[in-house]
Amino acid sequence: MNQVTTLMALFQRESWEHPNLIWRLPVGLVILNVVLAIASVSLGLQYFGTENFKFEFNSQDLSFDQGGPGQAAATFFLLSYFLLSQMVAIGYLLSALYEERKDRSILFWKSLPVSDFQVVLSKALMGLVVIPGLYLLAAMLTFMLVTVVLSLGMTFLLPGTALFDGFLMAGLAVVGEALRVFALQIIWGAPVFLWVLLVSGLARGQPLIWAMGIPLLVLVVEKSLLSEARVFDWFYAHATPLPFAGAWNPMMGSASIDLADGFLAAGIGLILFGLTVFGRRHFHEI
Amino acid sequence: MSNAISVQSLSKRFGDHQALDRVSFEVPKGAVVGLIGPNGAGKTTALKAILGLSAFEGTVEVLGKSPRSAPHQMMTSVGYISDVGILPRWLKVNDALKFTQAIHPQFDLEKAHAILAKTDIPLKQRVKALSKGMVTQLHLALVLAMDVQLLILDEPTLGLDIVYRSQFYQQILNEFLSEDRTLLISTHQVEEIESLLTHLIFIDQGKIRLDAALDDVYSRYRAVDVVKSQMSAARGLKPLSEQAQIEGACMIFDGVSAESLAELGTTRRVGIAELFVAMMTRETKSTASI
Repeated sequence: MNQVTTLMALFQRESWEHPNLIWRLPVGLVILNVVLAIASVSLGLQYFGTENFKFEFNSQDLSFDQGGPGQAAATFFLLSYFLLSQMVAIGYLLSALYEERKDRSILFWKSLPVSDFQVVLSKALMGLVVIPGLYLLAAMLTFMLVTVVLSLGMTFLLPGTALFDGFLMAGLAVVGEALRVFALQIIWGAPVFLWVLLVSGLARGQPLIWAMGIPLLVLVVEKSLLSEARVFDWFYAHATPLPFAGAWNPMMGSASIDLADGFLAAGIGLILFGLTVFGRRHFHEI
Repeated sequence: MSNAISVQSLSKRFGDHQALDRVSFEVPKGAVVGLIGPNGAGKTTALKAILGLSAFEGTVEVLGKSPRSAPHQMMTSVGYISDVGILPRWLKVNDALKFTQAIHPQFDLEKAHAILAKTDIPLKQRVKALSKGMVTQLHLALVLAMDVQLLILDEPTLGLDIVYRSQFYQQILNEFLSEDRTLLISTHQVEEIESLLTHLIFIDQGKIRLDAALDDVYSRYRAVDVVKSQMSAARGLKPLSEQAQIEGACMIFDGVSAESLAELGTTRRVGIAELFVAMMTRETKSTASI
């Protein structure tokens, strides 16, 4: 069995165990938003009527080609889905290595020819990349489907309006930036995400309390011994998803990470990953 | 004959409790070995050390390799069923087959389907909806379809009714046992596996009390239904145990010749269960007297 086949099987296993978090929720959000868009357009048309409806501005004023509503809509979906994906991923990682010990199914998984490295890698990638990636796809799909619904509605209201092209293009311009932020967030969030995974693999009970309690303990120790809490502050900053770290930035235009900080985050992430693999293999008497 | 498992000076301590105390034994390739012991004897601890699931002191080799160095590689040739239902409750039967096929190089999906076809297990059902017996059947089907060289079973039929227990061992006999495959099984229900065994290991309080081929056990230990008139003569031969009966007593002797015993009553082959009880009772008595 090659590594890729095994990894894909492990991803599939996670989707069987957590179908609600991994795919049902994003699919549900796409459906919900499209239904809401259809309802809005239908109710709007029904309320105003296509014949009596009059715009007090012409289609040029909407400036679709220069961004505006298209960009705002895409940003809204991308940011809201992104934020949700981060919370879902943290929740997933918190139980990823804890539940298998709690229900003793770890004995079954360990009786199969899959290494601890492969198992931990699959769970880390699931939380850091796959879940946020799937929600990102869902956000893009939502935006495109909502665009189609709005365009169909607009053709009744304002025949000749090039809503679809302008709206979609403005939105897709944001998607490029969102993908960059998504990639940066993997490194930015790695220390926190992999810390949560480590706790999930080691805690004998209440992983949430351990995951939050130890950083708080660090804060107390730092504040007691030093004037500033540099370790805690750094960790806390990385616990905030990148688009929301610092000032709120709806267009995500300035999201970036310092190169040295990025290397530090990646390095700490790798150390935490290594500890998690070691812990699953050696620490607990099952 | 080379060994499938070699255990040398295996020790394991949990706090103040010495679960295993310099235990040594070997499991020859092709053997069917029963690891028999009371609760807390150290059976599961020994099996987990063999599977590389826990840290230990001593040396363990499984199919020529250390289980702690690369346990996942070892598991391509080793199957394991534990004493508790360890299949994840959320897993569907079909998905369990699909997953095992994806990650196990020797897994035979058709064989697994063929084994499951003989059961009442619905393929679309989740593990949590199956009875305990069905979960064990499913786990056995997965393990049997893996084509492993060594199968380790830790109280696999615990809590199952007699029908499931009988089917379980029948399936092991039909689908697994052959000259080049090794079975190490720990169980309380000794009489159910007696016909399968080639070797016997008694373990108690973390120490090996008996380690022998079954044929040697039968030639060394003998059970005699001693008639009342021969009771004192029988006791003179220092039986391992004495169990009162309506007409006399059943005694088990260690190393006494068949000729000497023939005069005492009806001699018969000793059962593993009664030998186990005799040895454990004797051990308890001697420990108590200390």
